Amino acid sequence: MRRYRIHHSSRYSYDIPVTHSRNLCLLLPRPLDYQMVRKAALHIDPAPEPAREISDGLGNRLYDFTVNESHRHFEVLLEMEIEIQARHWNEGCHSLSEARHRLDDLKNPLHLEAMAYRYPSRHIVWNEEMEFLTGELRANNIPPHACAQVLMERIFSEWKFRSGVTGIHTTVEDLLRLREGVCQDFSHLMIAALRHLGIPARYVSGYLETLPKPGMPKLVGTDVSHAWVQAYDPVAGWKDFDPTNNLIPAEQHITLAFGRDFSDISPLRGLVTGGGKQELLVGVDVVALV
Amino acid sequence: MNALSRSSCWNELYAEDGSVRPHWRYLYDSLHSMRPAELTSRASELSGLLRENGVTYNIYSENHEKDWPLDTIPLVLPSHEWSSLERGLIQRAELQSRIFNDLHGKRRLLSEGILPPSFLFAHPDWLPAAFPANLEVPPYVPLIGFDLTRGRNGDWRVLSDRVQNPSGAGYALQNRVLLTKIFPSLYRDAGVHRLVNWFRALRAELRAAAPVGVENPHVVLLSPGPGHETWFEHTYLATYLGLTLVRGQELELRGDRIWVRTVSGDRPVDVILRRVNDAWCDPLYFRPDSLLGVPGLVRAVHAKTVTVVNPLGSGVLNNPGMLAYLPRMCRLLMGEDLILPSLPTWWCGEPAGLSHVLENLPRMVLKPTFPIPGSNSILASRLDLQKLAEMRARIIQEPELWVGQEECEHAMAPAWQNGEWVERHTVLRTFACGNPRTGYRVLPGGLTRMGASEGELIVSNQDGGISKDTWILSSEPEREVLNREAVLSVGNAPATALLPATAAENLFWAGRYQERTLVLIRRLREVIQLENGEPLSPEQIQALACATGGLWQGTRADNDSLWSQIISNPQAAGGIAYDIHWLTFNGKALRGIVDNEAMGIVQRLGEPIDTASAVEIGRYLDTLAIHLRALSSVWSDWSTDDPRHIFTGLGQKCEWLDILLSTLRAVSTMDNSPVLRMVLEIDQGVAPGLVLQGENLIHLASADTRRPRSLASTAEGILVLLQRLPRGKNLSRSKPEALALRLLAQIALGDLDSLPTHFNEFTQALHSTYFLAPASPGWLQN
Repeated sequence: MRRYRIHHSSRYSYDIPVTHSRNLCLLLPRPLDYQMVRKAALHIDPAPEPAREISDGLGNRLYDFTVNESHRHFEVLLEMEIEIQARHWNEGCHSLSEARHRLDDLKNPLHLEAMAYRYPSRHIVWNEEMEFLTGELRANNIPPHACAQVLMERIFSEWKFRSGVTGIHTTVEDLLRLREGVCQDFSHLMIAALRHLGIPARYVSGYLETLPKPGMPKLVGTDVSHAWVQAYDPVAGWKDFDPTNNLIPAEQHITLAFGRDFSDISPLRGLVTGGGKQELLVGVDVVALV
Repeated sequence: MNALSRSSCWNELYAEDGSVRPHWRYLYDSLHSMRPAELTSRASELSGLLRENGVTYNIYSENHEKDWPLDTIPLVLPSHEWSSLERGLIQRAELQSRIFNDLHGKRRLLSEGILPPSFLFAHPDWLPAAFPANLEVPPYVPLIGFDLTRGRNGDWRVLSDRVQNPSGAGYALQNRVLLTKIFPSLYRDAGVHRLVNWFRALRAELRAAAPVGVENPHVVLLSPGPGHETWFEHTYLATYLGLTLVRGQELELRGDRIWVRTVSGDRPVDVILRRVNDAWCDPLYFRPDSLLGVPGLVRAVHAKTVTVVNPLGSGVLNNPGMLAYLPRMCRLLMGEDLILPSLPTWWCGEPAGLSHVLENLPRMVLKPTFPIPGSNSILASRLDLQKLAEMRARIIQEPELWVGQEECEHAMAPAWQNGEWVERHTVLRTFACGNPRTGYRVLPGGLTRMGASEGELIVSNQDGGISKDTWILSSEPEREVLNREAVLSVGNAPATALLPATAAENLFWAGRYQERTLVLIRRLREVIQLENGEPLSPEQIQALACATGGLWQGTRADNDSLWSQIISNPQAAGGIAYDIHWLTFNGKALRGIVDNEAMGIVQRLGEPIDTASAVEIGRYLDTLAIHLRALSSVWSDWSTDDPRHIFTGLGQKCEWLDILLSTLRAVSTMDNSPVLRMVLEIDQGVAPGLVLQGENLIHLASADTRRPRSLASTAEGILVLLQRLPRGKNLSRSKPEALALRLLAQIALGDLDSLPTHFNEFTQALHSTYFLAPASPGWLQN
């Protein structure tokens, strides 16, 4: 078990005042049996009108609020303390065909729920070129979590981490050609490959505790929001994979939300009246508590 | 019509033995007793009525508005046949509600393996956040449309259930209203079921859909706007049902409620009858690129302060593949067999469906599983061999994206086209409204559509289809409280009681463009001798430039340049074609808000012109002026506290003030140019020959309150109009009012220099007080 304190602040500055701002935020962590939320609070400045928490139909906590006061600075700050339990992964199906066969039984409510993550979604659409990643796995009838393991390793070794080359409009097709990207891209790519194999896969948003280089002090504000993948095996259930770091998330990954892709669970959406040019400063701190 | 149709499909009019079916007898005999010339004249009367009433629809591919095509001959169906059809439709309506309910709740259809899970989870309109869980009243679908066709034996088959936001009921009603005008006695004596009661039920249903505890719900119709295919219907239905017609930009979430911005202040909204598709209804929650929705509508839905009809999320029921599973769904959800069958349909995502569709491909109609806007059904029988092979390959590659439906040779019905009797294939769209608790009610009639030419099976309007009225004969005379269908009189608030902000803005700009065009015509007519091709003096050129707002660039007042620069060029801002374009643009957006008389004038103004000779130009300008004055007199006939009167009046007066200010400025810099003085004299209606000195003329045009078109009188008029607008709670002077008072004082004091600046401030205040914010909101960056 590990405990963390997390601060995530998004600070906007506008060159002309914003008179009205409608926002939707997905920063409150969803309830999970391996994560105990000790405290989770959103501080919004200027103070919003009464907010409403809405269930997004996928089990996440949407926080809907409006700021009606004229302002030139806007901050959304998440403060939370969380405990993460170690997880054990059960053994899953023995083959892909077995898994697909078992998934057909939708009387099992977990299978039914998983089917929401089985098909193309707004940012995850693929074509036959996906065979490049999936062909061998299918041919060898590899079971779901082993498929995910192989895909994670391949994406980690064949794609280069580089920020600034991809954006919100980058498609899975682009990624197959580009061979570069960031955690969001790697997750989208891996999810597409899994779904192409018929394996339900979802996008996970959250944080990662980053450790300083040996002998260096940990700097404040260097952590970032992170994204990774969960793959579904009808026997073993959901299991996490982090293709950006080529590891199975354990106690250093802090989960906020699950979605079909990024568009379901972007942390902060907002429509502002006025504002002109915006400047955004994001600071994330993940501090391990002893 | 005398020859027995050889076609193998069902014939509506003739029985197998060639005799006229009994329920057609009366209409058949009556119409055949008329001479063809008589029928032709009724038909042209009908098209006249359609144009007069501005009945139109928009063709997307051509990006323009077309007259609504309506055949003179209705489709006639006997009462007994209709009542058995009705039973089947009521069951299907209820079934659709239960399917919606199940997919947003227990999902037994999926867990029991009856419906493929991709039908829900892969549907682009599956919006998990759209619908709150655990509603006290199970969700249902209040309004459903059905497209019906007939098999060879006359048995009815459903082509598609239209669940998200079915259109056509308004057109069906308009068809009825107009057809009864050209065949009044025929209609009266035929004993036709009336439509009015169904629309009354629909209105009651919309009100009953309001959130729990709302006593007198405010129901609005949310339209994508004048560019939408069925904009006419939106305006017509809103007027007929007494709903406020709004666009997304006029609605706003405040707290947990949706409000509509009107000139009489903001009003909360309880029910939204929407014509906007699911994913476009809320840019914050769904498609960020949507300009048609309301940011935060989903929040109000979750807070249960507003009901959307049909509910958000009903888009997933728009999937032609559903028809393949309907009988089993009916058994599971209703415990009974489906009464009214669908046209045989297969989903290619299932091996059996795929192989059937591929084996019978030439006889299939192919439809995308998840409807793509603008993509039509594909009739495989119309494809050549190569296209057919391509289609086959597409289906094999992505079978789950395709649905095959058996091609049906729709029933033949008689029609009167281009002066002769013909037969056309027809499809009937009808509607049911209601709820699962108190039941559904089917419209006794509907919108029949027929192919444009002989043998044509495609009936959609986008593809040139023609509509028909649908007469269901009643077995016994109907007792009606109301026998007029033109108005639904139950407590209808006049459309103007809640004038939405966009409509106010359209009225204002219609007023401005009307005034601008009329002034320009008057000046052109008077200042320029049209027939005179002589060179102009520098003074005259300058004056002309001023009179036309800088548009005139030539040195000779010849017809060609006059025509090309000022009159006919729609790109020339400030020219006549340009002004008329924007006048009709604003005018058409006002359908349903202003009456048919005004709409008819707007329609005529927009008709294209081509003429070049001087005499014709003069005549054209005169005709235009007559129409423009007629429009203005319609506006001023509205009662003086009618917001429509006020906003068109404000538009006219603001425009005039604007024009006069720039003319006065030009006079003062040009040192008494005689032509300019003439312009001013024309504007002020000074009798010819009455010579005025410059100072006097300027005084007369600015501060003389006896002159109705002086600055002083115009500003006074603006103030009077503003004072008639509904006031806020505190009854204080509005900002525009205060600024108008300042204008008035400045004019009286002769302080003309700062007037243009202050006038600008005034119009800006007018905009921000009564119209919409000019800037649409932007996105926070991520």
